[in-house]
Order: sequence, then C-alpha cells, then structure tokens
Amino acid sequence: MDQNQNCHKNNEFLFKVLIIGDVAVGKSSIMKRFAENVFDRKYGSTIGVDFKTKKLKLGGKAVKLQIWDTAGHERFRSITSAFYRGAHGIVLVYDVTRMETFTNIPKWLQELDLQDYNCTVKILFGNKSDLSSERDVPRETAFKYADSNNMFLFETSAKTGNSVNEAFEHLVSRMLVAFHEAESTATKPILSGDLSTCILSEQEKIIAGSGCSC
Amino acid sequence: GYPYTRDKIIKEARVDIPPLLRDKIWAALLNVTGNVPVNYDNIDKESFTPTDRQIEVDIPRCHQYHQLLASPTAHGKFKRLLKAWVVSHPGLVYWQGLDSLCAPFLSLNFNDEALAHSCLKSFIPKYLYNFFLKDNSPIIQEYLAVFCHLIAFHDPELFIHLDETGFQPELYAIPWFLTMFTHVFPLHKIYHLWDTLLLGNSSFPLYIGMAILQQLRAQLLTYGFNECILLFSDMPEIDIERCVQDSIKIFQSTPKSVAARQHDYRPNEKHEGKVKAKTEKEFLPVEQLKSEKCPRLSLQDMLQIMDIRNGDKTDYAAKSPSKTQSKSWGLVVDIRHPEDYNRGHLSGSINMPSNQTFSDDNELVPCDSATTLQAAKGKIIIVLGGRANNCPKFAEKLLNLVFPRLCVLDAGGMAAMRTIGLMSVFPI
Repeated sequence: MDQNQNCHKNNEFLFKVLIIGDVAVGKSSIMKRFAENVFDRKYGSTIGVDFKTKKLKLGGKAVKLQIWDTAGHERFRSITSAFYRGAHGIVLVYDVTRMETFTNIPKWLQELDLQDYNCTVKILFGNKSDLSSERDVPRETAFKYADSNNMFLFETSAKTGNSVNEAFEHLVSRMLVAFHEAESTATKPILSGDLSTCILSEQEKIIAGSGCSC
Repeated sequence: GYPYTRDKIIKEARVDIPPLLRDKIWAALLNVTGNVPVNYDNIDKESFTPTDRQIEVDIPRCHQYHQLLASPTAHGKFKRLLKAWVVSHPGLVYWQGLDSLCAPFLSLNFNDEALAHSCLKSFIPKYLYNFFLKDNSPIIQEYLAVFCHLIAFHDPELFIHLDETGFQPELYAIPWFLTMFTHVFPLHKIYHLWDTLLLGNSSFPLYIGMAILQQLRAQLLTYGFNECILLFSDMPEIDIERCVQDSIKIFQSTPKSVAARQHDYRPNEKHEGKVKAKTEKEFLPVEQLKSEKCPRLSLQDMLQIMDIRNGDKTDYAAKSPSKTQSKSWGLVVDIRHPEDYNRGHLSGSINMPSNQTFSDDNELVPCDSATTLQAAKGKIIIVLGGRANNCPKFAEKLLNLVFPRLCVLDAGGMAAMRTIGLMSVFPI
C-alpha cells in the first residue's frame, strides 16, 4: 500500500490488467492493437501467457498498464491462473460473431470469483465488430447482460482499431476511481497478490528514478 | 537402402543436411519405418471429434506468413494431420501449440501427408514425451525446474539476476519447449535449428533454451522484470547458427544426469525389469527439485568426471590422490565433519565442513581448501555430504558467490560409494 500511496503522490500509477476469454476471440490482437497499434498474428495462438506494457495519461495522471494476455485454451488454465493474481483490472473478451464465446462469459466470471476477484474492475469487450455481416451476438442482448452484471461493454475491433483505446481508457478511469475509493475507505489495500508485489517492486525502481521514494 | 543405411545418414547429417533432401533425412533421423502411406490411410481423419473446433480456430493463425501454409489446401492438410494425430493417440490430447509443432513437417512434406504424420508421430515421444497428457503440469514443472538448474549450472550470474527479478521460466519458456521453438521462430529458422535438434537426445531442447538465454544475456542482466518479459513477448532476432553452435557446446559441457528428468523415463524401455544401478540418477519430487537451486549429479557421472573407473579398484587405488585430481575436470567438496571425513573419503576430494566454510556474511572463510576451491573455479564442483549435511544449501551459498558448474551428489551417492569401496582412508 505504501508504494501505491507514494506513487499516488507523484500521480503515477501502475495497474495490472488481465485479458481473458474464449479461444480465438482476439485477446492477443486487442493487446497488440492497444499497446503497439498493430494487427498481426505471427506464429500462432497464445501459449501460456503473453505480456505488454502501455503508458497513458488520463486526467493529468500518468498510468502505466501492465497487460497480461492469457491463453484461451482451457487446458492452459492450470498454468495461466497463477498469473491472475494481483490484477487490478480484467478485460473479458467475446467474439460478436460466435454466440458461444458470449455465453461462456459467466463461466469466466465464475472462474474469477473462485479466485476472489470480486473487487477488481471488470470490463466486457465484444470483439470483431468489423465483421458486421457475420454478427451472432445481438447488441441489445450483450448490453443488457453487461448492465445487469454491472459491467461496461464496448464493441471493439482489434483489426480496425475501433473503440479499443476508448475501452481501455474507460477501464483505466474506473481503476483510478476504485483505487481512490479503496484508499479513502480502507487501510487495507485493494491491490494485493504475491506476483504483483514482485512486479510492483520492479516498478518501484522505475518510479524511484522519477523522484518517487516508494 | 534405408533403414539399413540409417547410421550412414546420421553420420552425413552431422556434417550437413541438404535442404532438398531434408524431408527424407528428417524422417530417417526420426527413425520412421513401416508402411507409412497405408498406416496413414487407415486412420479416420474425417469423423467429427470434440477437438475439431479447436483445431479449426488454430490453423488459420498458424505460421500464416508462410505462403504455402496460408493456402486453403494447406489448411485442409493441416486439419487432417492434426486430427490423425489426435485419433491415433487416445491417451493424449490436443494442446494449442501442436499446430505449430506440425507446421515444419507439413511444409517440408507438403505433398506427402503420410510422411508428415509419421514424422510428427515419432518426434513427439522423443522430445515431448507426455507433454500432451491432459494433465501435463507435473511434466512441465519438472522440465522447467531442470531448465532452472541448467541456468544455475552454466551461468550463475544470470541465474541470480533472473531469480531476484522473479523472471521465472514459467513466464516465457513454456511456448519454447511445448512447441520445440516453433512458436517463437519462423520456419526457415526452425529448419536450421531442428537439423541439429533431431541429432540430439531428449534433453537437447533444454540446451537450445540455454543458448537463447546466453545470446540475450547482456540485455537480460541489465533488465528488470517488465523489460525481461517484454523482451520475450516478441522474441528478438536470434542468430540461429550461433544458437546451434552454443547449444552443442552446452550439451558437451553438461553432465548427463544434470539434465535428466524423471518424466523422460519411458516404461518398456531397457530400464524396465533391470534393477536400477546404485550409480544411476535418483529423482526428486518436483517440489524439492524446485526448492534446490543447483542440479543433482548421479554417482555414475561423478565417477566419470573424476576419472574414476567404477569396479576397478586396483587401477583406482594405484593412483595417487593428486594424480586423480589433476586428470579430472571436477573437484569434489566433501562438507562432512572432519572426523567423518578422516574416517574415509574419496581420493582427491577436499573437506569443507558446512559449519566452518562460510563467514557470517556468506563469504568463504580463508583456508587451504578455500584456496583450492577458488583455483578450481570453472571446473565442475561436486558437493557431497551425509544426510545430516544440507548439501543443497551449501551449493546455493557457493552459487551466490558466482561459482559456475555446481552440482550436488545424489543423496544416496555417499552410501553407494561406500558399498563399492570408494571411501578410502588416506594418510593426511
């Protein structure tokens, strides 16, 4: 918590964001589009975890996002779930052209609940919105579901870049709010987890370099 | 002709594999025999299986920069090959990555699906034995733990840095090994890499992994956690020829038991039925394996390193202790109490009692043995002791003093040495 308070004084934040969802919904593409503004697919599906960072400024605050992309294949879950720990934000992705990827969202939420992510900020991405002729998940159904589960929904296209940045910015603003709420109401950090601690300690060095003593 | 000329093919392949013959040579190296086309024809590649869906989403994103593999024809072949593999391995399952693994064989044998299938079928049990079990986590965990030991063994400085940074192989090396690097390199590099891999044993991929780390070590040493993980997120340009040469060097300088894995042992092999020799590697439970920083060494390997011929006592006893030591490329550090040591020890070993060797700040306490140890830096250092001594901890302290090539003798090694008469009393 100390480090976060210190970082806060400096208006510098580090958030860990996890991208989860079914196989081939475009998780890696979303991450690449947001972090590097590219759309490519290299040698194949994600195996285990992948990772990118992205800096952005929002409302005068410098935020660094550490984005963890996970394999969608359920077999990898025993490996990837170890990396869920300490996430501040979670991006749940489905493919608007494949209904089953949407109907599986509750399963992903359940998985998170098992690991006690109740207070983590969650956001829903309906990806591949550019493929309008192949749409399988009606907008209304999806938005209704998102509303009733207290999540924001963005229909995105990693291919064209449509709404990807807006969705992430929204996520960041919600994480900042959650952070301030937790800071003002509790002495206990909302930000916890072994892995994040080790990453944050690495981050400390970066922040320390910019004048923060944390 | 083949298969009778296989030995000759292997010999030639060590020199070079001509690209135009690569498809056939690889098949020979993988020991593909039998009626390949008929066997393939007999597999049902059309009926629906629950894996189909997964295979269908993976194929259109697998090595698609490759013109041949991006074609609809290739996608059809890909699907049949993967389905054939799944159907003919009822005990194993499709894991993402199997598609990448299939890509080199498909692109090489584009007009011979049956041969591509036979190659894949032979390749997996050789290098990825049980990696495609439904629950493969014990296999992967052991594999990565052994990989960590190799890093510690060959490059303590890098090991210490990565360990302190928290940059563990679970974060980057799973795609390397599960796909035998086909997930991180383009196909033209894979051909080059596998030309050598296919001549190596089942531990060879670990040496390739080590060679990749060595090529990037200068960067890794200055990087923190984020930069390290970002570096491997998009594998940087790797000089594959250098990587190949380095992995051969690492293979040659690694005792076999250091890279040995319990999960690599197949039933029905020559080991079955045979009583395990006392000098062979003992395997540790994975949790213990992970907690120890330095690898374990079999007695067999130690005897070889120290140039001691097992069972040939006369020859061995004829050697003076100093001679044994000068001829060998290792140093044995016996960490037992001096009283125990004087009661009998291996000729040429030095005694560094575990409670007297290190100062409070974990430096070596100056003494003759410490001088000998320092002088032996670079040789293989084998820590041994009784069950009461914490050999792994001792080795770890030496590791933190940046001693390379450290290993700990198997727990049963000392007793076995006694049985075969290697613990002799020498005049001091």
